[in-house]
Amino acid sequence: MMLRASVQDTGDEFELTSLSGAQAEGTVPHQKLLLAFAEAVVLRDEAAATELRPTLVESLGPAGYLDACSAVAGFHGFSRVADASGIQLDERYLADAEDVKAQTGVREYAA
Amino acid sequence: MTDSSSLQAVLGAEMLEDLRGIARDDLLDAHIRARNWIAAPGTWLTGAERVAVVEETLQAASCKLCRDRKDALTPYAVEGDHDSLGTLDDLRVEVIHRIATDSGRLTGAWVDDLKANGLSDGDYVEIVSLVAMTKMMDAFLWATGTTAAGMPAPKDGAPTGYRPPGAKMSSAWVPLVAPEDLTESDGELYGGTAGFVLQALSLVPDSQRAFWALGQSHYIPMTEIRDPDTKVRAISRAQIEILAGRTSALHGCMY
Repeated sequence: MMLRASVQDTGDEFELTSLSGAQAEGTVPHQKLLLAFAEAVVLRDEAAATELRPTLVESLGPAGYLDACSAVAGFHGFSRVADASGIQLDERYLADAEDVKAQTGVREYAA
Repeated sequence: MTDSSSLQAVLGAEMLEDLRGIARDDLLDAHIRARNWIAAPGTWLTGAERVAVVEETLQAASCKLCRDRKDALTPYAVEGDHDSLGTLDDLRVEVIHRIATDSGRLTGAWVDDLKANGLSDGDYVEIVSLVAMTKMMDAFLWATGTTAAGMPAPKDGAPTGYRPPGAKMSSAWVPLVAPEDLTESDGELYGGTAGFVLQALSLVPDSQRAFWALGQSHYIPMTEIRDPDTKVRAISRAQIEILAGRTSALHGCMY
């Protein structure tokens, strides 16, 4: 939800399906690079990370690159806390959640 | 354009502290504080047990049972023993390994089963915080290609055993402390915002505070959380949320 809100603040729309794998360049600067880096870190793909790091530093600057590293790292923790505690989605996000489900096609995975 | 010395400094760093002067001080300091906090006695676990949780969390990455379960259609179809370090009991090892390696497929029934087998809800929540903090710090090290010094030696002392009087079952698998149920003895927990993810660890207030102190330094400060255009980091909020969304999706996290 925050992704969509932050992109809409720029006057653009974000294609949510890119989060589920497609890495097309989109409305967010360096989107493809960021998605690939997040994937490399989560999957511990050393070859991919080694290839991506210099481009990330060049594109985002050293501080931006390190903030990208810290954001990915942060969600290694947040996702585990959310999933292990079984918390529900906050009410203010419920309406958006229906729209997100439709856009991302997650219902196709329902049993 | 980044000059070659900056590029070399950030990519050539071997230890976390080598990033001092390039990375934010609050981020590097948060790592140090978190490690020291972990080594001290907690609410339900001793300092030695907490350090053992960190070590077992890292060990889970090389556990064959966890790999087989991760590859299976359902983790409950695969039986066996975890490749553990042998320091903690089997119940705690199961908790640590599952959360570390396959958190997206945990269920309320699994948590209920742990409790039925003798694991207290406070013990569980404290372990969740420790695993999550370990995975966060370890991911930052891996992402930057750096390493950190070993964990501090565990500090002696007994766990406090503090349980918030207002904790109750509501919207999660574990008791939560709703903002209206906070008491003075719980200490400050929520500030201006109290979404469920902030309440998730509230059964163990000390763990909730420590986790979010580390978490905010990696993500954004809680005071900025509702501002979709915040500029407190060297990348935009949209770029941060791209990384957050993809990371969460890969973890199977639907929150």
